[in-house]
Amino acid sequence: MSKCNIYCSQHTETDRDWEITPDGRVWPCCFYANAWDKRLTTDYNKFGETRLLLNDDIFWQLLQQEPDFNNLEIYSFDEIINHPIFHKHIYFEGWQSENPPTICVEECEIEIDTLTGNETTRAEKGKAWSHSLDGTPLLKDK
Amino acid sequence: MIPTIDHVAIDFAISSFCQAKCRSCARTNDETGDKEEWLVPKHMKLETFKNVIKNMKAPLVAIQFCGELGDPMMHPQIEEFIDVALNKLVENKIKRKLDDGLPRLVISTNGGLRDPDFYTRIGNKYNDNKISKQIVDINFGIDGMDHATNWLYREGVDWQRAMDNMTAWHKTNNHTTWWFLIFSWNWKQIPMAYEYATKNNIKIEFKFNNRDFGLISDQDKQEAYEILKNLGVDSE
Repeated sequence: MSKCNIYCSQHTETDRDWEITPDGRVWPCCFYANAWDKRLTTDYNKFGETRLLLNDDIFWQLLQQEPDFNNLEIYSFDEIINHPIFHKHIYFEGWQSENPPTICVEECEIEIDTLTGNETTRAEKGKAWSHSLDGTPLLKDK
Repeated sequence: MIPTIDHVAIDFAISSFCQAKCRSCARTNDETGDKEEWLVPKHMKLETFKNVIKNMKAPLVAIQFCGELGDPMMHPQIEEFIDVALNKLVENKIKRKLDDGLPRLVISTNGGLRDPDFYTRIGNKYNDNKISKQIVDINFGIDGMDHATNWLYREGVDWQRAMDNMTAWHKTNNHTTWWFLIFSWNWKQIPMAYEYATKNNIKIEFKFNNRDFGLISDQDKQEAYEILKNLGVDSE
């Protein structure tokens, strides 16, 4: 049984969105990219994503064993996104497992918004109440 | 077995350089306003980007130039990135007969980099092609109706330049989106921004900042909600 209830707007059954950092590494979303970008800091209290990444045993072990698994200098984009980590861990199978990815749980576990009473996630909170004149949703803001 | 995916979108963080000192951005030290010491700014290699675009077999329907720590307009080869991206997306649109607003190229910037001539020039270039015109959309992050208000978060950004750039781009009849982040200090400017955007036919998106710096109080947030509702903004 799943330990958590995750809503991910980046990875659904039909759509998958990725982020590539300036050094040419492929990540499943901005939270992972952020954790990577901030790995050189020593203040993990200030930069929680990196601490969460360190606490993800499966992902962290992969980074130790295959440090270039997501490096576009070494592998093609298709090879990287077809890596088992992105199918077995950071995707439905992992979310429904006993050991879900820590960053996904922190940012994308469904909770009730205290103000509106609606279901939301930490990641989605900033998106609610966005407005477009023609109603077209955007991928991400800056 | 790897499941079949219909749509793939990629956000290319093509640069971690930025002229702005936004206090809750991860690149900025929130006490000093300087760049964090651990960050070594970097531009993505154009070749890396080209290789991904040229060789990928995944069904690419959207490209974004946004990222986490920099502004894409800082990249000295931004125009070539856009050209390569658009060519690929136009090719995909024709080949896969995509509709529903796909494919898309979204570029997110604080607006204060480069000048109106640049935006007019590239706008006219992409406007030449009926298909590419439907694809590209530049998002301008401008959080106020005057320089002083915008500077409270987007320190280092010339507000007038950002507005001029947004206007120049919009005048080329390409897609434009104005992103207005709501802080404790600017929520009363929501109607002014909405009126300006509507009058100039610019799409505007309002979003509450949810980080500590400049976080709006619950009471003001309720009032801001009312303002948005009165303007006809739907909530989720």
